[in-house]
Amino acid sequence: MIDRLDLKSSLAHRMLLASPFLISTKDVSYQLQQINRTVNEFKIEDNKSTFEKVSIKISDIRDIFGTIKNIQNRLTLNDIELFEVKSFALLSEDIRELLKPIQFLWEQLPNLAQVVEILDPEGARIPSFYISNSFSPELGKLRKKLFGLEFLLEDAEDNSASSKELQQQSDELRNKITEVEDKIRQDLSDKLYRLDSELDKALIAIGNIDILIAKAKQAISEKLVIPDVEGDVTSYQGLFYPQLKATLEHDKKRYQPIDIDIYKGTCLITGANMAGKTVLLKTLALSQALCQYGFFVPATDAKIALVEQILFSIADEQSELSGLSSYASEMLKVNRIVQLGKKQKRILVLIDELARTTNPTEGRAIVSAVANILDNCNVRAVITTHYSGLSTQCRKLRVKGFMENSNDAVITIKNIGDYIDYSLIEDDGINVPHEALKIAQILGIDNDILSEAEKHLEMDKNKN
Amino acid sequence: MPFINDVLTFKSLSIVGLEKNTGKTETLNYILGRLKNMDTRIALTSIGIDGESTDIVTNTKKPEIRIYPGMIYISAEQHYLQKRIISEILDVSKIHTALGRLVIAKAINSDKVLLSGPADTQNLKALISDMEKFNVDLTIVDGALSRLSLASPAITEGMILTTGAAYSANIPVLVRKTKYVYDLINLPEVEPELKQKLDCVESGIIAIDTDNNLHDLNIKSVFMLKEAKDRAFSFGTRLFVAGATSNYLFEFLRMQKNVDTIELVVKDFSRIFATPEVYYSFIKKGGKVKVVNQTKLAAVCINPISPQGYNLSSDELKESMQEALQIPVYDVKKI
Repeated sequence: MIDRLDLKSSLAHRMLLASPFLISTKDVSYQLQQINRTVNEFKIEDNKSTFEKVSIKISDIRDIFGTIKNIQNRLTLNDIELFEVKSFALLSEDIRELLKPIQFLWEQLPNLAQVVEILDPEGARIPSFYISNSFSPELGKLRKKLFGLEFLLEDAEDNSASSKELQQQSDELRNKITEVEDKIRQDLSDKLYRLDSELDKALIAIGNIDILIAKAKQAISEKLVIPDVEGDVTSYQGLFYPQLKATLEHDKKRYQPIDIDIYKGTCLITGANMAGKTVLLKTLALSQALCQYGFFVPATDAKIALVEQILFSIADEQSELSGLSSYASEMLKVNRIVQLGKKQKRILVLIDELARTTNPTEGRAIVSAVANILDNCNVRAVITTHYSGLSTQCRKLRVKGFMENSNDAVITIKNIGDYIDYSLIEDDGINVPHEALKIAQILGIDNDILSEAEKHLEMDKNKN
Repeated sequence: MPFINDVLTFKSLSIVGLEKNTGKTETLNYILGRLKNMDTRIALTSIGIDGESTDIVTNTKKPEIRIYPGMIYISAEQHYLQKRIISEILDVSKIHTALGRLVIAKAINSDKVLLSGPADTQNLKALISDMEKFNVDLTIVDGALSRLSLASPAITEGMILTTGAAYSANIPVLVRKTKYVYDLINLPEVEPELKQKLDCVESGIIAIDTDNNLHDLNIKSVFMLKEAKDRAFSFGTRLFVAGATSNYLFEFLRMQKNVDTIELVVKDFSRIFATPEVYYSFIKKGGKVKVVNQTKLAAVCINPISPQGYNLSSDELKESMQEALQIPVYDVKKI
């Protein structure tokens, strides 16, 4: 999502990457309200061109973070740094002027007229800089004298006595000029030191405005919604995974958003293969993270209970290098989750197919154990599984799976998504769907495998 | 005032020396001295970082470039801060060099400067077109012809070539070697449609079929051509080589049975590193070479003095050069 933000400046990029995971309701709602106001401003027709113009100006902004630090440390700035400060101040003033109709953004930007005044004594308002004569009358006189000398030097014969003397005079003059110039640089840096907090504020404000505009644009174009974070409830209507939705819509395929409530405790999710369980977990993680980094979320309506941490365990995370099998690394991860859970931390736990890489008998036991422990912690845990007959009292949801009437349709690997109902229903969890063979058939798996498997299923049934 | 009027017809011009100490800087100073009183806005840049006050290789004194009020010059951040000239910063480019970002500045007085510039073709192109922002009429690039340089000076509209005793101390050899470069510069350009297509191809060996469609042959280097011989001509006999072309490639092509139908296309003349003998024997057998970017040669300047102390006769050199090239040749010390 961050990659798809239309940021205009490297400044905003740096600030965004440094932004923290917010855990207080106050911080999150402040961020979300800011986006909400920006989104509302975007809806006003007259503002569209204003935002356009502001964005163009922001794309010219240089990240002068380092230069401002030098000012704060009372270092004397060199010409390049002074140029940067001047062109920054001019741009900032332009942006401020443009933002006048959008009061709440305008307020965030301090007035830098004084900075411009200091670096542009002639009032030309052009973003170019040098130590010009207008900074000091003395400088003008010295330079004039130097140019005169140089003129004479050009005409003088090489190595003649007069040329040597002229050369010496010119060297002395140059030293004098450098001294005066340095004094001016020192003065300018001192004057800027008094305005350093204004400059700093302006830099941060411009970065923030860039981020806000980008977030608001994304919220509008991807149809994101402001989540309600005031209560202790997590509930989504029409939750979707933006990238997948975009890909499917691009291919003119159906995308089914999902409604889900997540209560405190554990929630087990069962469902056939290809029923979108992993995507659901990813979407939950994404929405929670987006919300707590101050973004809108992909849903039509959302209430989100803030957490201190999001813990995610997904699929194969084999680490051959550390000598752990996929089972071992999963167990270590789950162990960490349970330990944090026991400490009564507010966490969102998302585990994909817990203990799936070991034998079903023990796997079933592990799932029940983890589900029961987490059910009594201050966590919201969502665990997907294929195991049936779990001995746990926690809540269970099931993905509906194949549609009732899909039996007579010709299902292929290409259109399979059209015949799966991805919505969730409360379930007793005793019987998990057995659709693995059906899906294998659709995938075009060798018939021998299918018929052989059917035979074994028959045999198991007879045993029971 | 020789060749200044020709120079003014270009929007960009590079000055390229066939060897160090062939009078490139003198030529540049001559042009700038002539242009200073004209109503033309000049910008100056170089390929990579240039403009040391002594030549590191031969330790001879290298004339610095003198610029005049109102001229724009490009300099690396670190060089800029050590400057003597009084100049106004117009912009700080996002292009980085080993010595910091590139500073675009306008001279307030007349003094000597150290030029810098982008080290690769893309950025050099971008910088030249950026100069329009500052109403520049002519951008002059202090160029280099080298296998080591990624940026090619041939992207400028016009070019001035400097040659001299430093390149060879024997007049007939010097003339022959210069004539070779002259021939390469004058290689014909491909048709506009093909030029547009090939302009964005930065690497590889590409076959061009009779309808000007491009087919990447997936041959990593010209040295793999022999192994992939059967594929090389599967789309006809026109080949585009994006990188450097060596003796190896020209010899390989010459030895093909259908050599007289082969047409080799290269980015520009500076990508040809074959020796004259190998190049000409390919041409003699009927092979053809074209370029994607052609540059116009505005003048050839000679420097009869070499850093080793050879002193060729200026008039004799000038005459034989003029006769071989059939264009005006100037001695930089005498113009």
